[in-house]
Amino acid sequence: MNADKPDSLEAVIRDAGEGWIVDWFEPPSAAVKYLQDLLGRANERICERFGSGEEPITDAHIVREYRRSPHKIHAFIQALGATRSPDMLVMVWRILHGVQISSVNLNYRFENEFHLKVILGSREDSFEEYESNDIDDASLLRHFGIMKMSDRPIFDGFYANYS
Amino acid sequence: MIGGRDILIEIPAGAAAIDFALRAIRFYWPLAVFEDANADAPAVEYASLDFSKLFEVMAYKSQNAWQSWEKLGADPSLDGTMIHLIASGNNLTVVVDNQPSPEVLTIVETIRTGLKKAAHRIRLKEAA
Repeated sequence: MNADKPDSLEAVIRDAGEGWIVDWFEPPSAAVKYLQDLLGRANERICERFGSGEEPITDAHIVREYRRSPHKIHAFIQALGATRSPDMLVMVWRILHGVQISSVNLNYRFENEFHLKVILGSREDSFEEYESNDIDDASLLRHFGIMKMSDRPIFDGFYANYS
Repeated sequence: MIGGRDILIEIPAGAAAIDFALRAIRFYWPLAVFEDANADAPAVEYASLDFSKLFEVMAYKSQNAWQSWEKLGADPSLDGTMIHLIASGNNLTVVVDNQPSPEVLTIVETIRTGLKKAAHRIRLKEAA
């Protein structure tokens, strides 16, 4: 991370070493608008689901959070480069803020079906469901932390991977 | 308790490594609170942590445990209620009681095996 604090979404993306997310757009200047649109839709989902009960996903918030928890925003930036789904971004955001991964269901049939369903939360009355039919979103699972609690399986946390 | 037993985990010990460890602790201690050892501030819940300068952190079993530690210090009655983590270079040191409880040993093992297996995949430490 550079000593100069990045002050925009693009600067955060580049500072995190994920500049490819911007540069693979043609032209690269279109990237920021696309990413801001995607974040805007994710933010709408946050408002629909949680009202003011969850921190918003905005440029300003991402810049501020990058100063507090750069490893978390780095992971989020990698998710931003991996998915087109606002719901998947909300899922990642919630995990980064400490919400537990309750269940993961993945159905796949060659050339026929991909369906990912992740449920977050620790209490049945507050479970949150996130679904995707886009196989690109399978790559998000690689970011889950994996541990065993006395041989019991746990997915927890969302982390930046090595590129 | 402290100076207790040091358990060294050789991994790139950055914010993500500490994050992983604290989240593991929460599974055993759902009411855990965390205190930055280098800040003059009370223990907070996971979601309120500032990881930007978090190199040394105490994880308490609950808010009550933290208050008791504040009041009594390293009193034997508080054994098994706090785990101390120190990230330095390529080591995460976990400091536990001299004679840790089975629960604390299980927590440490969850952290150790989880981090060792994650180290090849997850960026446990951000680039300087």
